[in-house]
Amino acid sequence: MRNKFTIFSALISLTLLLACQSNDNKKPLPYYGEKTVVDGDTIHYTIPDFTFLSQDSIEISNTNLDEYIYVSDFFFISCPTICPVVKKQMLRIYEKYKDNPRVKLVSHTLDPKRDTPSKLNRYAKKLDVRNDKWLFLTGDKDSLIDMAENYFVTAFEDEDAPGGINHSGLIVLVDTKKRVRASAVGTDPEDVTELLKDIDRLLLEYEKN
Amino acid sequence: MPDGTGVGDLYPALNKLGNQYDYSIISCYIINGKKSEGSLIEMVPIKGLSDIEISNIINYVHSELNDMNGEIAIKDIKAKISTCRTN
Repeated sequence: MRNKFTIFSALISLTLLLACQSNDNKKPLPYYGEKTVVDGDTIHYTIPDFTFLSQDSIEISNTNLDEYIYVSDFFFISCPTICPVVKKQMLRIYEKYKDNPRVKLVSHTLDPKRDTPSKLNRYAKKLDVRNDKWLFLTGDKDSLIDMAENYFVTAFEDEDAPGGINHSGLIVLVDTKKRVRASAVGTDPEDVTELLKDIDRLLLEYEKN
Repeated sequence: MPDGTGVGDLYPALNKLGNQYDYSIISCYIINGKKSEGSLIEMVPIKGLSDIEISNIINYVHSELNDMNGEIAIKDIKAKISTCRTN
């Protein structure tokens, strides 16, 4: 009898646990950054306006991404440390969503002097990216470093760092209103697996609306 | 990548070197870097590694990533490294 009670209790606990997890997955993703309340409406932090140049030498501004949710990272082609590992994870995201018209990927170089649009174009082709689903952006160096900070990514010039630039490998998920909704450590495949689930959750928010 | 797989055509895989690969070439790439004419990505030299640390990398690539039997003797790797360091 006691055994039956123990098994019954375990089953109830398991059911409650699964129910909680299921509810967690249905909850809207959180919002990063500071929020303000204006006339009773909560205004969340958004990525500031920008204009950069893509791998096809086309000007890309924030408005070009208005219809999309996107993941963003910062890198540079000659980066010898974390960039190849993070790019492998970005490639995972690209492979999963390459046929989803609502999702884009945006990689920003931190070495615009060397990473010209034509070099970024070759880089994209070597990753087998041949469309504008994945944008590789370049521009003014200070603007790119400032933009990294806007995405909660640490980036600064450091002559002691391999390649001369120190930066974090954060991959950031942004919604259609430029609000930051999730992030993952780009060098950690398990964390990126969680980010893939977060992207699905964010897509679900738009399917409901 | 930690498992030696590369990334697209950008970063070559290290886990499919085959039996005939020359570990002295990899040792020299680590020490001096590699820049090919017209190549997109330049491998920069990795400074400050001791001979023992480079030997550990070579043996990791050899046995863990390529599943080859037997470690390469450190004295053999050191001999190869000395030629790279002087070049």
